[in-house]
Amino acid sequence: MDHVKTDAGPGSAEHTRQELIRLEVSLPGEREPKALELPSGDGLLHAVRQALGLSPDTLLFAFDNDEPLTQAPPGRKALRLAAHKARQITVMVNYEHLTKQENFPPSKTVFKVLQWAVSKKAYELDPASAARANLILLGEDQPLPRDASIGSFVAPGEHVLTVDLTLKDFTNGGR
Amino acid sequence: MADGNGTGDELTLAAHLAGVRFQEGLEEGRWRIVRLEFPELVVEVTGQDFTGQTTVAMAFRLLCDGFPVRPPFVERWSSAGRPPAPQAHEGPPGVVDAFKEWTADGLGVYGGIYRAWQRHAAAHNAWASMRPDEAWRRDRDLSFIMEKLYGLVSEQATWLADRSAS
Repeated sequence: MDHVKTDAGPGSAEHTRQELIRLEVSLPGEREPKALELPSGDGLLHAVRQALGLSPDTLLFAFDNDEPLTQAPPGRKALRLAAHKARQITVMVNYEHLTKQENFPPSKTVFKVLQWAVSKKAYELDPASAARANLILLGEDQPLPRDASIGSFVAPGEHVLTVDLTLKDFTNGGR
Repeated sequence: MADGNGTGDELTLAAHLAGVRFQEGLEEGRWRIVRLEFPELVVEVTGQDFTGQTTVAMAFRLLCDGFPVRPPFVERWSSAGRPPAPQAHEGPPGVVDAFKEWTADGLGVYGGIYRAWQRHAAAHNAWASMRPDEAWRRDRDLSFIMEKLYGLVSEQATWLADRSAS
């Protein structure tokens, strides 16, 4: 993970007056999140945008939350954020001969989207199949990490993510 | 908890427990520490179905000696001892399989949670080398295992939600 240096570092006078919050920020289309440590409080979201060179219209979501943050969540000392200009990502999931789609905020984890894909809301897989299910990018041989935000697989300016639902077996040691 | 005088594995575990991802999971209520007496770490993990309306909590015991070079040994835990393995009608196949009773190769004892990231299961049928995405590596964070446990517990919550709806 990349650690981003900020002007107001931990040893600065500004930091000594305020509680610090440690952040991991997922950026559009980047698989490795950025690590930050910044003063918590009202200026947090502005400081994140400034530290990462994000434009003011870049939305910042807490992981798995539906709405972008308008202020720093109170009482937090650690937080994972997803940054993206798109408020919604259209996820298209291919399985066998079908494609089903749903809109999710870029902060949704792969795990949550997978839960949707195997549920009655999408492909309604039986429990045995659901246990083996993963989401995988087209042409790749490893499933998407379930704790990643979907926005990290969608490039800036884009708002569609197309994946395959795969049932590659992992339940018995591969044999 | 490590006080700065601990061994390397103890200090590494303490650093992972203080890391952003583990702390974020604590603050989000996805897991909590029940007990930490190195090398033993007991956690309670709370998973949920897609809607968030059905939640399930389960406790796990992690033995972290040799961490992070050795993957933790992980088993289900309760104050009365390890809960019995679930029967087929008590959970989804993935959860029943992960929590089944099995014997670690060459040890003659319970092998722990049956998944490629778990200490004894990793070597079983060369599982870890066949599924590197599921396997523990020394450069992974403890939250990798916590996320796997969260996934299993959430799978159980989803199964319970589906059963109650049908």
